[in-house]
This record gives sequence, C-alpha cells and structure tokens, in this order.
Amino acid sequence: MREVAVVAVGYTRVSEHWDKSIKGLFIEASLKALSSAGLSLKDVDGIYVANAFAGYLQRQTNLASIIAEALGLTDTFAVSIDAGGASGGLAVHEAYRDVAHGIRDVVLVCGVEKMSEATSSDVLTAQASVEDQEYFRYTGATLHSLAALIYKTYMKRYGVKQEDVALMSILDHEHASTCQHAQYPFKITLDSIMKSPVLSDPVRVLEVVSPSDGAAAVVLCPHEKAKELGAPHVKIAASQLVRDSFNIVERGDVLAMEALVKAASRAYKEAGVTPSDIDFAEVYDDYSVMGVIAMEKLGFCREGEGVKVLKEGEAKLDGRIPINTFGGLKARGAPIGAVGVYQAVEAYLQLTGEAGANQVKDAEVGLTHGSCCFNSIAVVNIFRRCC
Amino acid sequence: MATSAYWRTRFQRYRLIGNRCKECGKVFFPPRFVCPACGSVKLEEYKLPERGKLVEYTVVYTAPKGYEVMTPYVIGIVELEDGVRVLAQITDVDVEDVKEGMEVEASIRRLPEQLEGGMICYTYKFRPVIK
Amino acid sequence: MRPSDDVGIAGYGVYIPIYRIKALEIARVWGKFYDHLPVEEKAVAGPDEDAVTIAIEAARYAIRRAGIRPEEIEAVYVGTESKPYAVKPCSTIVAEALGATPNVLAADYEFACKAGTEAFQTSIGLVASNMVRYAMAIGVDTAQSRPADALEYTAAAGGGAFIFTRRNCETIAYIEGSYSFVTDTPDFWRRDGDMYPSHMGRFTGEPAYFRHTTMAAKGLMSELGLRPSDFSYAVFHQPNPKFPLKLAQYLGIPLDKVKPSIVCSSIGNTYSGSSMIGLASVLDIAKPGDRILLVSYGSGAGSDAFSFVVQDAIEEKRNRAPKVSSFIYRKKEIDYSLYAKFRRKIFM
Repeated sequence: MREVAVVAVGYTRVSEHWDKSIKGLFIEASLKALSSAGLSLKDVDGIYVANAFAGYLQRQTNLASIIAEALGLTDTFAVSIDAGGASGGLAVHEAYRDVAHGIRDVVLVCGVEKMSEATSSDVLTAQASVEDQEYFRYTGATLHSLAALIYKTYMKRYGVKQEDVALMSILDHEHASTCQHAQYPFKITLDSIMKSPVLSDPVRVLEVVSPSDGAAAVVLCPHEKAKELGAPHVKIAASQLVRDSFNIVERGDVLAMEALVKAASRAYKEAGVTPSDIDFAEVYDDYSVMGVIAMEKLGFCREGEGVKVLKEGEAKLDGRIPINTFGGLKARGAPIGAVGVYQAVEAYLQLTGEAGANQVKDAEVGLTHGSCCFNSIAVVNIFRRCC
Repeated sequence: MATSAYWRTRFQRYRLIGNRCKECGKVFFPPRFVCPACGSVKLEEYKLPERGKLVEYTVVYTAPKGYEVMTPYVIGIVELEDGVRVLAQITDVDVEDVKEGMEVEASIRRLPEQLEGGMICYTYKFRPVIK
Repeated sequence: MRPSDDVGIAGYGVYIPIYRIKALEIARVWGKFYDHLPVEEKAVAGPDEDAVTIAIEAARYAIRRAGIRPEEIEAVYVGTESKPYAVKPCSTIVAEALGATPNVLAADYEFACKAGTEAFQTSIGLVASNMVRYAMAIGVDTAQSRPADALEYTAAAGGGAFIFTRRNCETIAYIEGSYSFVTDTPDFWRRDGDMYPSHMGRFTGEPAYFRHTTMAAKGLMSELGLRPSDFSYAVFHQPNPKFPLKLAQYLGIPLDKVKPSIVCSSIGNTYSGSSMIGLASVLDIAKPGDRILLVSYGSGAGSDAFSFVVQDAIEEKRNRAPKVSSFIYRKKEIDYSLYAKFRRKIFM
C-alpha cells in the first residue's frame, strides 16, 4: 500500500450556471486543479467522475466517457461513480484505493452536477430516484417525507424542538457567509427558517438543500510523487464506505444510521485516530436534522446532544469541533453527486492553510461524510495534514 | 417505467404480499430475493395483516409529479398486527384529524395516471378503520 | 325466473366514499334558487378513488361477512357505468386484488344503473346450475354529471358487493325468484368520447323508470303468487328520494316498508350502487323470515325484480363488517372547489 496524497484542487462556485454545461463545469474545475499542481492532462492516467442525476435530468448516461472525450483523453481510464449523495465520497474512495494499490499514479477525481435547468418537480423526482423504484415510486413518499419521519422521531426521542435542530442551517449559512464558492453566502435567522414554507411537516424549506450546479476536482497521486511535485498536499488517512437498507422503515430504528456508525468506526481505525482527534468535519446535511444526527454518529458528542453542540457554539470555526466550515450542503450548496468532492476540496483547503476567512486554526485532521438516502450509503473519508 | 414493472409487482400492492425467510423467520415488505439478516435465499410468500396502527406520520405539502392533486397528504409508518412496519400513504383523513396510534386498515387506491403513461395503477394505502 | 336449485346470499358489503358535497353548495355555485333540492348531500369519490377501488372495498367486506377465502370465489362480475378504462375490464383488477384469480370468471356489466342486478342474475344462474360454488356480483359507480346539470345534485359514488352460493344454513337470505322487464327506451345515455351523459328530463320518469319498475315488480309477484302485503321491505332503485316513494304508491306498498332502504338523501344516487346499498341497508336491520322485494332500474331501459327471504345467519353475519349507517355517518364535507379538484374538473 502506498500513501496517497491530494496534490491539487479545483472547483467552480456552487451556483446556477445557466451558461455552462456539465462538460463545461467539469473541465473548468479539472483544468484549474491540474494547473495548480503544474500538471497537464497528459499526466492523468485515470478519471473518476462523480455524478448522481445526469441520467435523469440531462438524459446523459455514459458520463465518464463523454467527459474524457471532451478532454481529448480517448486513451485514458475513465469511470462514472453513481451513488447519489455518496457519489463524490465514493469516487475519492475508488481513486484512493487504485493509487494506494499501485494500479494508477496520477488520477483526477471530479464531481459534477447540474440541477438548475430542470423543473422543481423533476428535481424532486430525480432525488427520489435513488430509492428502490419498484417499491418507492408507488408510495407517494418523497425524500422530504422520509426526512420528516426521521425528524419527528428525533425530536420526540431527545425532547428537542425544531428551533434547536434548525440551528444546523444557521451554522451552515454563517460559515458560508465568508465562503467564496458558496451558493448562499449570507447569514439567515431562526425566524426566517421557522417562517419558511413546510415541505413535509416539520421539514421547512430553509432546512433543506436546494438545486445547485457545480463541479469540484481533486488530483490524487502517491505521497512520494506529491513531494516531488512540490505543490501543497494533504494525505488521505482513511476511506470507508458502508451500506444499509434503503427502506428506512425496515431498519427498525429510523435513527440508528448503522452504516454511518460503522463507516466512522472503521475510518477512525484505519486512520488510527479517535473522534476527539478530528479538527473539523464536513457532514452531509441534506436536511438540518441529518447534520445533527451525523455529528452524533460520528462520535463528536453523545446521542441526542447534537443540538447542544450547536447551541453552545462548539461547531463554529473556533469551536471544539468545527462543522461544515464552508457552509455545508445547505449554504455552500449541494450539487448532489459533486458534494463529496467539494468536501475533499474543503478538507484540502483547511489542511493546507488556504481556507482564508474560514480557516480552522491548526487543523491537522479533517473528516468528510457523504450519504445517499439517509445513510443507506455512508462514506467517511479522513484527511491529514502533511509535515 | 414500463407497464410490466407495475404488473410484476402487483401482488405486493394489491394484497400486501411480502416474504419471509425460511431460515430465520424475518419478514420483508417489499419482498426480497435474499435475506439480509442470515443470507438465505429460501424465502416464502407471506401475506401481511391488513390492520395496524399509525406509529409516525408526516404531512406532505410538496408532492412529486402527478401527486399534486392529493396534497396535502399523509405519509406514515404503519405497524401491522404482526409487528411488521410499512411505509404508506394514509388516506381519507384530514390533516388535522390524523393522530399517532390511530387504527388503520389497508385499502386499495388509485395512483396518478402520469405514473405509467396513462395506465391506471392501484396500490395499498391505509385509512382509518370503519367501525 | 326461478332457479332450479335454491340460491342464497353468503355475504354482502358496501362502500361509500367519505366525502360529501351539499346540494345547496352546488346550487350556490350555479346561482340557482331551489325550494326543494332533490337531495341533502351526495357522496363524492376522493381523488384516489374510482369504481374499481370502491368495488374492492365493498367486495372485501362481503368476503368478510361470508367468511370464505377469496380463492373460493369462482366468478367476479362488476356492474358499472364509470369504468376507469373504456377498454379493459374492472373485474380483472377487482378479482386480482381480492385474491380470486386466476381460476375465476370475470367480466364487467353495463346497463346504466341496473348493471349490478344484471350481475346478480348471472351469479344466481351460475350457482344454481352448479357451475360455480361462490359468485360475486358488484354494482358500483362514480357517477358523472355535467357541471350545472340537474344530475349534478345527485350523481354520487358508492357500491355494494354480494356473494351468492347454494342456499344453506350459512346463507343470510335466499332467492325465491326474479323477473326482468327490458325495452329499448332512450331516456339517458352517454356517447363514446363524451365526458358526461345526456338525459331526457321528464321522459326518464313515467315511460322509463315507473313503467319498467312497475312491470318488473308486478311480473315477479304474479310469477311467485305474492301480494304487496307479503313483503316486509321493498328496495327500489333511488335516483332521488321521491321516485321510490311514488313507486311504492303505484304498487300499493306502505311507505314505511320502503323508507328503511332510502339513503339517497344522504349519499345521492349511486347509480349501479343504488339498489345494492338499498338492499344492504335492509339486510342490516331485517329479521329472519322477512321477505324483501328488490326492484332495480337501468336507463335504456330495464328493471330486475327479486324476492329474497331473510335467514337466521343474518343476525351474526351482519356484524362482521360495517353497516350502511356507518358509512352514512362517516363523512367529511367538501366545498365545490375541492369537489372540482377531486373529480378532475380542473384541467391541469
């Protein structure tokens, strides 16, 4: 096993990019990443494309080959990774394993999503399409409604209010307010959240991700090679993926999130760290309550104490465990299939000291969490600062 | 999705037919090919009871394509008489009348036509028990 | 018509959707002033209901009352003029949902409001001839009416299902005989492709409803040698609350023998469901030994008349499923805008 480093990153702002196609976004992020490390397309021997919805929203399948071809790389390995909101984290995972095992040397991982040009009902249907369609589509359930069931169960079990859980969105927006690549770089108030429309009781609009376009890229290579290149780099210390039943009702306890608990514990073991060693974490909060639960399952606090972490300011940039340091899914934005790669980019920025106003002081170890369907797929990646 | 996909799976929707692992007895709805608990592929048909109680619910205000005519509607978790839990729409209730612990029974209802290109699909929903 | 072997009813069930719209609300929308609206309110199918779903609900209750397994049913006939598909049987969906498939006869009947009793006749014949052990006849409708038309006040949704088998101690009533009277009388129709039916106003009365029902009822009584006074109850098709009462007068039947079956004021005219729900209302209260006259009417036109004698098993079986009164009391009032949304009168 070789040690693997992230040697370069590139990304677009998360936004509604009316003038850019999926290919355009991808190429912009990828070329930025390569050039920042003094690399060119010719150096790349593998492309990992993370995307969730192109097949549905753009009617574009076979994305990896389409994009590789657009890059002029007809002879380069290219693969599409499709795992909903876990796509980005899984693409990093696959690329990391391939480099670690010496299968490939310099690889480009790019997550891309373009959701702006679809109608909102198409986006809703696309998002629900990650569930098992032979069953789910006939129930009339939406992802919002599943999140609502989890949300209500959570509030009851731990005796917390929506006003407590919604702090997650406020935190995201606060961190995004100084983030250059955030889709919503402004603060919001509890009042505005509680007055936003209900999507599925109690889930409100301002607690939920909205459709985004964006692409983020990281370049991975063996640690030795990264040192030769001389560019700032960070090490990948662990990458774990675990799955669970898609059907949250079948899981027994809808709050169990077993896949996330397992992925976290395996990642901590692989990296040789404990939750208290983590200096910041980018969690998958497609719904406010999912961010709160993630903090608990990742071991940053006890079960039911996620809202306490938020209330006491422990998740802020200068807090005990900074969470979603660039705004998370809610405010940095959530181009779903690309989220995990944005998180990897953000971990890189923190660990190389390039996070600007969002810098977590002395960050050494960072964690990213990706999820599809309420952690029916959970991916946990851990990054470590070099020297 | 094709008409045949609806047709193949009609028994689970019409009659709440799931399956049960012959080795460990675990019940699945929708039915599975392999038991995730013990790995067995020996599964037998299992008819779920049609009565239960509502253990948790949410009111959906933003619906997927075709379901707009139903909003606001209730999606809930129903615990059936044998303890198996299913996700289902709760119909014939006003948003203000729906309650946890409510006694419900399975009822066949019509789905939006848009779902399968004009074919009319029917599925189970649950409604309050009529005394 | 008298079956060679005695045939009885093994179980019955009804279903009426929960929603109601008041006749006054309809009158308000169309700016009408009526001293006497035909009904108080009518039952409206919800946005997720149609003739098939109502048929299945009623049929499940019938099976529950009969205490049989669905696979024992060898014939399923659905009588309706509100088929969700112009071409494709309702009965296959109903039979499959019940679990009666695949060894089952299944077809849809269409004869305006008497499609359900037409299914009775076939079921009785199949049972009496020993071709099947249990046959199910369903009459159900989600009746259509043109907005602002007089029919809009009454055209309602509901249905009933009856399971027939050889008369035995388990049957709740047995059939003494039936009589049908059919002519070509164009009082009401809906052309292919039309959304709403057309009707001939007062022509639907004397030459249509009253002539056919009277002839069928009289024919039955003369064939069975019965007089009006021999019946404990009379159930007539009820397009509105007035017609069945007037018919009772024509036939010389006291009104209190007809009134227990009249539910039209609270639920409207359920078309093919009307005679079914009327008969069920009487079975809900009848005593063993009571004789019931049932006369249906279907535009186009025809009537089926039946004589049933209630048996002992009714006392226990009627409590196995909700009675008609439960459905009448279970209701949610909606206004015209929700009615328009539910019945797809708003084009999206």
